[in-house]
Order: sequence, then C-alpha cells, then structure tokens
Amino acid sequence: MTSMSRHLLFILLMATSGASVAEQSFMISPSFGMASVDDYDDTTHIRIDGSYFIMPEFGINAFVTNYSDFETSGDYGDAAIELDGYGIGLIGRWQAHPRFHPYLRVDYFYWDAELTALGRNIGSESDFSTGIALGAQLPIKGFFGLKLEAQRYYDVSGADIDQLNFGATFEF
Amino acid sequence: MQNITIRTLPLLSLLLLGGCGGSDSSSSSNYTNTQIAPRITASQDQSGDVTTVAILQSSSGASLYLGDGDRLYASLNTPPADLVNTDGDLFETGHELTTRVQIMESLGTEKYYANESTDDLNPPIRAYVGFERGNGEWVGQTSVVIPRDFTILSPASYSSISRNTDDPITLSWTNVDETTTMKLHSRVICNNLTYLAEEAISLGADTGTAEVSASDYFPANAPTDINCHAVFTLERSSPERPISEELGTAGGSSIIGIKQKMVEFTSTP
Repeated sequence: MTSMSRHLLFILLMATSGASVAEQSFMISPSFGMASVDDYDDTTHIRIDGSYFIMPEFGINAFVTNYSDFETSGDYGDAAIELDGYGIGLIGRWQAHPRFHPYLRVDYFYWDAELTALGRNIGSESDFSTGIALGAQLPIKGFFGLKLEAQRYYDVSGADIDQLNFGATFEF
Repeated sequence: MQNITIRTLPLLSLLLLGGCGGSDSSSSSNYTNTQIAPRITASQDQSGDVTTVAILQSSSGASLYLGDGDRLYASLNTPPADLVNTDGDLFETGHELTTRVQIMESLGTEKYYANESTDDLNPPIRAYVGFERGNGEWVGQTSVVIPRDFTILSPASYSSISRNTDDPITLSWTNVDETTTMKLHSRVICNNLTYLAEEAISLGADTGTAEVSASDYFPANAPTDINCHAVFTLERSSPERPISEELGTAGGSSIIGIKQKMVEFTSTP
C-alpha cells in the first residue's frame, strides 16, 4: 500500500468512527406532573429519567419516581395510598424537526404501595407493572430542551394510573 | 291537639338510656379475647338505615370500654375482614373502606354504635361486626341478616282509635316469619308532654296479629277524656344467636337482627 493510500485510509477510518459516536447520546430528564386514578383525587408526582440513545431513534431508559399520596374520601372516612418506584424502558424517537422530537416509550415499573385508612396502615404491596408513554422532546438550545408526555401505567395495585409529565431535557 | 310527628330513633333511645357502667367500667385491654363478651343488635328502622349497637361486657359481667386501640368495625353486606386485612388491590380496597366500613363509636361506656344507610344496597341486608385488638390482631367477625320486611296493616296511620276497654287495638302486619319474635314499643304523649308513657310489650312468636289494650300503652295518670298522640313501633327480631366461636370472644357473646316499622295514630276517649 502506498503512503498516500495509507493516509486516505486513516482519514476515512477517523471520519466514520467520529460520526458513529456523535449519533449516540445521553439524556437526563427531570419532570413533574399530575397523576389520576379512578375514585381518587388527582395528585402530583416527580420523576427523573436517564436515557442512553444508541442511535438518535432508539434508546434505553431508567427512571425513579415518587407520587404524593393518592387520596379518597367517603361517608366513613378517608384513605390514602403512598406510591413510589423505579424502572427501565425502551424509547423510540423520531427527530421530525430540529425542535420537535416525538417519542414512544415503554416502561417496566417496579412499584411499592402502602394504604392508610381507618386511621392506620391497612396493607402494602409491591409488584411490577408495564406502562406506555407518548411524548415530545422540544430541543431549545444546545443540550437543553423541554418535554411533554402523556403516560399510563397498567394495574398498579389493581388500578391504572394516567399521568401528564412536563420536564426539562439535558442531552449530551 | 297539636299534630306531633315522632321519629323513633334507636340511637336516640340508646343515648337516653346510655351512661351505664360509669366509673366502674374497665378497659378491654385488661382482658383477653375470650374474656370479652359483646352483645350486638343490628336494627333497621323505618327510613331503611341500620344502626348496629354493641354492648361490651366481660365474661364475668363487668362493663367494658374499648381501650388501647381495640376496635369494633361495622359494615353492611361487606365483610370488614375482606377489606381491613388486605395486601392487594389497594386502590379499590382504600375506596371501599371509605364507603363500606366504619369504626364503631362510643355512646358512653360499654356501648358502641354505627349508623349506615342502605340506599345503595339490595336486600337481604347483612350487618357485620369485626373485632380487632390494638396490637393489630384480627380477632374475628360476625354477622346477622336483618329480618325480612313487613307492612303494618292495622292500625291505619293517622287514624283515630278509641280507648274503649272492650275494644282493644288489633295489630296486624304482612309477611309473617314464624322463626322471629315480635315486640311492640309504644309511646303516647298527651297535652304537649304533660303526660307521657313508653312501654315495651313482648308479643311472642310472629303470627301476623296481636291485640293490645289501652291499659297496655296509655299513661296511667292521664285524664281519660283527652286525645293523645300515639306512636307504635313494631319490631321483628331474629333469634338471639351465640357468636363466641366466630367472633373469637367469650361465651355470652350474641347477635340479634331487628326490623322496625312504625305507625302513628290519635288515641281518643
């Protein structure tokens, strides 16, 4: 191989390896929102997502979340449920526009719930549930952006949880 | 004669009769499960509401009050144990607890009560009572079916009935249940409470009819030439049933279900 060929091969290898790394990204996204369960008052929640995009369109996600108590009341008193947990998920993202990236995320949520009623702890339960989220990432400037998503978790201690999340994204 | 409408309230009558035991009552926390003997009545009144009352005594007859977190729960058609002791479906359980299960409240020493509407329940109505100790130990639960409904045929509501000693009042009602017993509570008021008589008359097994004379219900000291307002509350009671084994308490624990209907009339000379 001539020295010219070796130089060209070296430049080609550097260019392609640099482009592959640039497509990968990490994203941290704190968010908050409202959560709803039938027969209970709406409540707030917070969560932090950490995502690793293997490519711009596909990533894996991990999260932790905590809910303010879900509360309900009736003729004979009040009840409240504490709920928190963590999980992992997969994200499919479409960079439709530089400032609009809709995405679909599927979560596997490990939760811990505790019921208080009649003035005492009634019972607790821990288990896994699946969830699905449909949202949009809105890049603003550089690594900073915003996100808005609608989500549902299925069969969390017998109930489906619907929630809206609003947060910030920091993608590197 | 001023038209007075009287509502016979089991709760009100218990309030008037309450206060038994007083300073001689002991805390239930000083007794084991098998030393406590609740006597329970679940009574459905004219409005359809069910009042459950538990009188708490020791197996030796001492008056007790619930101490140190001991609790009695009351519910209708829903066993409290199904909800109070659960580790699943917490959201549904929590909501059900707020609408189905009550902690029985104190009416004074030894008496505890709960009042529940049956608007959204279909008969037969089963009244439950559950017993839990302060340490979280679930002792047991018991229940009784409220006796089936009946209608008072005579005397007719708001009629005028003579106190003629040769012509007693004939009580009659529908839907006879020979397994039950009947009792009549009468309340007669004359001259704006100047004269008052309250009587409880056992009528025996349910045969659908009974006779009561004026001497059974009319105030003995009232003039005979005046009109008075009378309220008859007829009770159908299920047989008193021992519940020691299912409630986990002492011998002497019992439960009775009662169905009440009321008729008002004017008692004339």
